[in-house]
This record gives sequence, structure tokens and C-alpha cells, in this order.
Amino acid sequence: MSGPATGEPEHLAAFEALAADKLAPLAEDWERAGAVSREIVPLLAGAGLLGALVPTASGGTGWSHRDYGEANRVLGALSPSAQSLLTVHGMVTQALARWGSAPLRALLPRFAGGHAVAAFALSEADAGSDVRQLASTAEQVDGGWRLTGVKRWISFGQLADAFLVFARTAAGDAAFLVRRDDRGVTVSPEARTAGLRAARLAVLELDGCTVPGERLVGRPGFALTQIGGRALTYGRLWVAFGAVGLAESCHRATLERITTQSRFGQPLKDFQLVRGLVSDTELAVRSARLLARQAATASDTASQWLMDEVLAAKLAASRAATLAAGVCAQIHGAQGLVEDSPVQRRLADARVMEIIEGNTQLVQDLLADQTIARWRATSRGGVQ
Amino acid sequence: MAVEVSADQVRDAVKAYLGRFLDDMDGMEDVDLISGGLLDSLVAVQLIDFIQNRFGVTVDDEDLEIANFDSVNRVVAFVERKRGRA
Repeated sequence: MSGPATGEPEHLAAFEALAADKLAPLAEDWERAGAVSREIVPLLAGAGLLGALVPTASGGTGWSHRDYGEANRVLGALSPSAQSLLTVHGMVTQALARWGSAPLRALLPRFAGGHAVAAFALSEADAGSDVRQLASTAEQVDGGWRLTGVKRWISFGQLADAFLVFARTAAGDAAFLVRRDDRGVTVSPEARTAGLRAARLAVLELDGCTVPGERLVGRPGFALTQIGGRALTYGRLWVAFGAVGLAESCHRATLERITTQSRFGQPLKDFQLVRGLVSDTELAVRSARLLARQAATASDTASQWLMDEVLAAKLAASRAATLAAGVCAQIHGAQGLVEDSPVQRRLADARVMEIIEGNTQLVQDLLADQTIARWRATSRGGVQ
Repeated sequence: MAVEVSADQVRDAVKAYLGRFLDDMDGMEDVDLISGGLLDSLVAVQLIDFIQNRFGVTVDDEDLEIANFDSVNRVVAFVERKRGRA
């Protein structure tokens, strides 16, 4: 499934080698400590991943979404917390490359080179799934904008040097790039979560933070839709790949245990009920991997059904992670109950996959729209 | 990717496209779809992609005003304007 023999691109093979040699032992430390350390940044940048969603002409490395997805899968298997850095940094750099002013786009080589980390600041205490409830505001002032509000649960906010912040203006919702060193910015750690506990979640407080006009990203009025909506679609794709990686790692741990442990005089793998669990998990993981790859290809080929493909991949992958983590815990018996054990961490991480970038019920709701639209498009033989 | 030849054809294509997401497009030409909450934000994103791909026009940053996309007739006017016919 992996390795250069499959004809995969060199940059991806190189990242897989880096993951196996360097990231795997570090990920163990990060997960145990409950904090991914900054040492990950130069490693990911060196592999080309922090500029992967930025075109080469803008100082990035311009990976295909299929390759970036695979890198997310590989890192997700080692540490879903670390993988979430690729999700948020990728979402923000891609949005800046597309919608940023010239001075903002000039920062892209710094993000690509790992000299600065970007985070996505949309959620608020009362605005998660329903982003229309956004309470943060940006007021136009002489030469720029004055931002006030509190953003919550920002993945890698503790390490981030810049935040893509969504706020209301008199002209509608808008997005801004806020620097950590801007006056009026306070970053503090969130209470540590059970899942994704090493993802350095932060609270971002903006207390009359004034930024120059060039920090406005896109135009007021359409930011939640055009910038946030698109970024979240890609975020869901990276979460899907990360969840596939998590599911794969759970499944491998299950297979390792059932082939090495015996009970009642026979290997665990020979119990029929265990075999049922293995087959169901295999099916879930394999289909989620295929759906994630199909969605990435839909993105690389600008398919009109990108949203549909991404939503299906996110739903399947997050559920595959839940299933695989649950089976893994069950198969590990009392050993799997140990607090802070890898089995428990994976269980908690899988729960997060069904919450972030659109919870399962929201994704179901959106996918139903796409399913009906696709059916109407084909059954009416109408617009292609 | 055929380029439509008339405003009526643009209108029909936009209505057919939105008919994927809305139950009945009859008489909906001037209804505010985005600000009126009939289209959610993902569909609004898809609508803009559709306009670019189907009619061969580029939606630039300065075009990203809700006013350009809020109703069928506004989309038609936008496409006509971008194609230099209005």
C-alpha cells in the first residue's frame, strides 16, 4: 500500500520515510506529553508539506490534493493531533493564496518554509456548526479594521503565528489575517481535551485589535461562504484522510493482538465473533480510504461533485475511525482500559473526528442535499 | 462546455442548476436565494463554480458581492455583464 514501488511521487515517498524514521518516535513523545512540540514545524516544512497547498509560483510546493491527502493519512496514523496541524495550516495557506491581498500573499513563502504557522479562527463559544451566530466584530477605522471578539478551540493556536479570523462588519461577514504579535491579541491554552489532546488548542482574544486594511482577506459579505465554506470543505477532506490513518492504526493494533494472543486454547483470530469484527472494520477502513482518495481526485480535477465527494469521505472516514477504535479497545480487554494508553487515546481521537470540521449530524444533513441534487441532475438528464 | 448564446438560455441553465437544490424554480427568478436563506453557503459556493465552468466567465474577487448571485436574474445579469453584452 505504500512505498516507492507503487509508483507514488518522490515527495510522498520521502515523507513516508520521514514519518517512519523521525516522526513516529517523536509522535509517541508528543502524544504522551499531550503537546505536539514546535520541532514538528521544520520537519513538515522540509518535507514540503507546509507549502503543499500553495502554488509554486507563490512560493509553495504545489502538491496535488491526492498526495497531500496521503500525507495526512500517514501522519494521522501516527498522531491525529499532529495531523490536525496539516488541516488548519493547509486551510489557511490555501485561502491566503487564493484570496489574500498582495502583501498577504507575499507572506506565503514564510508559511511554506515553516517560519510561521497559520491557524483557523472561526468557532466561538456560541458559533460552531451554526457560523451565522458569529459574535466577533470588525469595525472599519482609519487605515484598517478594529477587531473584537473571542475565538475558541483553535487547533495549534498555541503555536500559531497568524490566524485567519472571521468577524462581522457593517458590510457583512469578513475574514482577516491577524498576527499573534498584533496589539490587542491574547492567546491562551484551552482546557486540554480528551481527544486530539496534543493539538495545542487555544483561545484567541481580540480586544480592539487594529490591523491594516491589507489584512482583510477577500471582501466583506461573502467570507463565511466563499472563504470559510471552501476552506471547511478542504478541511473536511484532510480530516477524512487523517481519520483513515487513525482507523488504519487502530485496525493494525487489532490485527497484531488477535494474531499473537490466545484464549481458551485458541488464537483470538480464530474466534468467529472476533472474525466478524475484523471483517467489518476492514470493510469500513478500506471503503473510507477509497472514498477519501476519490474525493481528493475530485478536487484535483475540479469535479462539480467535489462537495458531495468530500462529505461522503468525511462521514465514512470518521465513522470508520470510531468503529476501528472501538473494536481495537474491545479486543484489548482490560489492557485497553488503561488511562493514557494508546488504545484509549485512539478512542478519544476517533470521537473528535466525528465532531471537527462538521459533526456527523451536520455532515449527514449536507450530504443529503448533495445526494438529492446528484440524483436530480442525473434523473432529469439536465444540466451537466 | 458549451457557451450559452442568449440571456434566456443562461436563465434556463441557472434555473435547471438550482433546481437540483430547490424543489420548484418556477417563478423564482427574482427571489433572493442566498440572503433569503434558501441556499446554504456550500450551495452558494457551488453556484459560483457552476457559473464559471458553464459560462466561461471568471468570477474575480471584486465580483464577490451577494448582489451578483442572490437571484436567478441577478446571476443572468452578472454573466451578461461579464461577457460584455450588457
